[in-house]
This record gives sequence, C-alpha cells and structure tokens, in this order.
Amino acid sequence: MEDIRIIELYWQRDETAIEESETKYGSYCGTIAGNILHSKEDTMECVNDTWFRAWNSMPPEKPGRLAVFFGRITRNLAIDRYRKNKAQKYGGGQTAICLDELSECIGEERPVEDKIVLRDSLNTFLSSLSEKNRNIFLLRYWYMFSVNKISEQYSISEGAVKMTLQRIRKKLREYLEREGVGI
Amino acid sequence: MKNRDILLDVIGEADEKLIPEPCSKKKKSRIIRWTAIGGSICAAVLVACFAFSRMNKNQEEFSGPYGSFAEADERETIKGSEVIKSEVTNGGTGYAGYMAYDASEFVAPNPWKPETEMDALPVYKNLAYTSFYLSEEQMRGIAENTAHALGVGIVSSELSYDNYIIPDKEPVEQKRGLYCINVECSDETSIQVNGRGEIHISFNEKKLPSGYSFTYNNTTADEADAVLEYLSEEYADLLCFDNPLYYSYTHRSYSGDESREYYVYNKTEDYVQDILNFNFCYARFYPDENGGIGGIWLSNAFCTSEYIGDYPIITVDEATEMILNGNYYSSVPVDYIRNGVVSSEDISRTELVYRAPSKDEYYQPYYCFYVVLDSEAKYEKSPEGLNDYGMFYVPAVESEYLSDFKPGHGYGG
Repeated sequence: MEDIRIIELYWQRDETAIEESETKYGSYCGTIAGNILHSKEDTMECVNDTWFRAWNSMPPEKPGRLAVFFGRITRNLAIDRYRKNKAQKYGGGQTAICLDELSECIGEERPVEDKIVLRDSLNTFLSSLSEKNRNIFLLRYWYMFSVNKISEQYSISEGAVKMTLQRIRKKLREYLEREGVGI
Repeated sequence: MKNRDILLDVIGEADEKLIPEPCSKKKKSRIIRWTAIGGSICAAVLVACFAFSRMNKNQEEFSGPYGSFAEADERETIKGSEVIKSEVTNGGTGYAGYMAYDASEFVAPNPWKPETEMDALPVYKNLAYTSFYLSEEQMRGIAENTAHALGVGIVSSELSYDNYIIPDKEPVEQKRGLYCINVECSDETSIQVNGRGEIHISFNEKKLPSGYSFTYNNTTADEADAVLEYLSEEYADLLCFDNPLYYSYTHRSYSGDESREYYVYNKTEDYVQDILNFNFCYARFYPDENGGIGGIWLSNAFCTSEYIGDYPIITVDEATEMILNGNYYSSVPVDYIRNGVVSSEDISRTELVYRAPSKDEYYQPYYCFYVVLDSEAKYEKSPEGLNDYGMFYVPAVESEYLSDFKPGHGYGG
C-alpha cells in the first residue's frame, strides 16, 4: 500500500492502518530496534509500540517520509529501553559502542542546554558532507548498523568505514566547537 | 544526561530528508566490466592490461568506468629491448608552456623526486597512436559504466566520426574513423568517451554545498583543497581511487589573470606506480561560471597502451647536460629562447613526466625542463614580471634504445 494511503487510514482512525504499517515497515523498524537492543523480545515490543505511538500522533501529524517517521519513533523507543535496560545491567547491542564513539564528537565539560541549536548545527554539518559520507554516518548513528554491515553495503573494507567515521567525528567535533556547542 | 546521550538523541532528530535508506545487501549491478585476458599472469599483464576484446557483461561488482584496468599495478617487470622512437608530437599552433610570475606558481605535486635514484622505468606502446583505437562497443561500455557510477540513466547516444576532406574538384568528406560517443543522460548530464579512453562529463547546473569556493580565478589553495576533498568523496564511485590524492595549481593568461586547475590521482605505496598514476590515470574537475561543478575529465592512458618493458634511464644531470648542448624536443621557436640557446640560468624547474595521453608513438619518461623565455618575445600587453616558461623535453630512456634521438646531433628548436 502507498504511504499516502496508510497515512489516510491513520487519519480516518481505521485500525487497519496498524496492520498495513506492520506489513510494510515491520521489518524496517525491527532492524533499527534490533541494532540498538540486540534482543528479539525487546525489539518486538518496540516495533509494536511504534504503531501505537504513531496512532497517537496521526492526526495531527502528516509525515513527509513515513519510513523515517516510523523509524524515528522506533529508534527513540529502543534507546529509551536501552537506557532502562542499561540501568538494570542488561546488554545493549551497538548502542554502547556508538555512544562511546560519539563521545569523541562532544565534550562533557559544559552540558548542552539548547537541543534545538545542537540539532540545527548537526543538520547544517550533515548537509555539508558528501552524500556517501553522510549516509555512512547516519547508517551508523541513526540506524546504528554495525561497521561490518555498512562495509558490506558499500563494498569497502571495515577499516575504510572506521576511518571514514573517525574523520567525520573529528570534523563534527571541530564544527561543534566552532559553533560553541558542546566543549 | 551526558552530552553524548543528548547528541545521540539529537541525531535521531536529524532532517528526515537526510536520512538514507537502510542497509540492504548490495545488488550486483549488471554492468560491463573489462576483463583481463586469461592464461598466465605474465601473458595477461603483457598484453593485457589493455585488451578490451574480451569485454563481457557478467554480473560483477562495479569497478569504475574503466573496469579492472584502472591501474597497471599488476605489471610484471620485463627488461625493455625493442628500439623505440622518442619524438614528441606537438599541437597544431603555438608552443607548449606556462605563464606565471614565478615557476613555483604552477607546481603540481609530481611524485617524482630528483633525489630518488632509479635505474629503469616502464615504457608503453601507445595503441591509439595512429587511430582512436577503442571500438564503438568499448566506448559505449565505458559510457554506460560512467553513467552507472554517476547514478544516472542514459537517454540517448550519438557517434562522432573523425572526418577529413579529400581535396578534389568536388571535395569529398570521408569518415576516417570513429572519434567518440556522446551520451545524454536523464539529468541533462552529458558524457563523451573518445577512442583514447578519455571521458568528459559535462554537468548542467550542478551546484556545490554552500561554503565551497570553486572557481578558476578566485579560489585560494586551501579553498581548492577543501573543494577537492569534497569532490573526491562525492565522486568516489566514479574515480574508484583507493587513496585519492588531490592537488591544484595555477597558471596565468597573457594578461596575468590566474587560472586554477583541479586534479586528483590515486596514491599508492609504490614510487613508480605513483609516477605512472600521476601521468596516466587522473581526474580533472572544472568549475562552471556560477561556482558549481562544470564537469570532469577522466583520463586513463593505461586503457590504450601496452607495456613493452622497463628501460634504463639517464640521470637528471645527464639530461641537463643534453639540453644545454641543444639536444631536446620542444615546440618553442628558437627566437623565443634567450640568445637562441638554453642556458642553465633559464631553467626554472625540471620534472620527470610521461606525455600521456598524447599522439606520441610511445609513452616513455622524459625530463621536462621549464625554461624562462625571452621577455622581448612576450605579448606586449603582459604585465611587468609575468614570465613565459617554455617546455623542453629530453628523453629519459638511454639513447642507445632510441632510434631517433642521438645526442650530439642537435635536436633543438
């Protein structure tokens, strides 16, 4: 079913919207949650929660890209669950590694006070990257795919992916420092 | 919450337009790939690097417009024995040279270093010496690969022929041979592939992200590096360079206006391979009038040449002695040379080059001397201090292997 039709179903409060979402985007959202949580049970719960979170969002929301809309909800739910699990000493898939890597981009001396400024700066920075580099960065830190998976996607070595990510993280840190965000 | 956690959350809020499709197993593309002639490695390398006859359309991983022949890095060294011609070909009019206030202005980072001693260097036969060499099918294959690397579809194609006129009472135009294929793509990108394997990609209003300066005459060296870094990454699939090394340099017009050139080639760990890549296999980007990407020239003379062996070479000091004795090739008129003779004071710069691609019969190493020319001969409206540097070539291969260059016979002018 076309995305526009699925969105219409949500707006019409038609419960088949959830069924159609599951059919079309269940696997997509499951991959994102799985990357973050590495737990089948937690992943399934996150994906199911995604449709209900979407149900509560539409209306009033009208997503531009439905996949990203669902994916973002799943990601947020999975990260929340990851943090909760971490507090309870559960494992955490790629997320712990990604967090470690992201600590290279931003200091901890001064807390980030304005997330909107950080988001705008990040969008500007991402837009300045080549498409390939931007995609590699977002596959890693938005979808939280493993380095191995990304290297397969681009038919390049894992070392090349790591090197690319390292260069982007360094650039991002320099950029955020110039912008006065996260010293 | 730590800042890194906040950053992780904020990445999740990134503009949805920027979010890529997720990973999926990469589909193997149905594209043309040049395949090396089989048999022993030796045989493959000798002829092979450049044999297009066994092009196929197997489902294989994409390896760039030129397929698996992007580099001649599997060349097995053999000792050159064939006597070769060394004469250089010149363009139709004018002479080869640069204008600059100082020779350091047009310094390209030639990987050749005068202090590194070498006994021998590879020589190649130019297979496109008498014709444009590549067939229609081969040119079309390169064009299709190029379009694939750019992610655009081909809308139409047209062949161009090298025509000449037979002088007669009623002159007749004859097609001498296939010159190139011109391909129009879905996003108005044009691709031209000629019989020497050169690819010219011409874009239509291709913009750069904001913050980059990409011009002929208003871009600093640092700005040029920044834009070349971006272009090398953006067109990585097209270049297929494992380790792209980019550089820019400037030269000047008669009026002193600066013109910057933008290049990328593939850096390796091998000194000789780097010299070859620098001269044979590179990309040149050029801007459009609005600071966008005008186009890309890709050159890969490996595709139309055949390795014939490593030949002993002379030293730069020996070559210098030759040029001072009047033994050189140059298109510079004698009356442009100060006092009609090249002197050591007039030699501003020396480098080792291969003249590829060109119409020379062999691609061989030359010592290229940049000689400052007589200021009296330069264009009268040129600004004060602007120098004209003529290019003078001395074959690097020892003269006993050359059929047409015997030092002492005087080749100057």
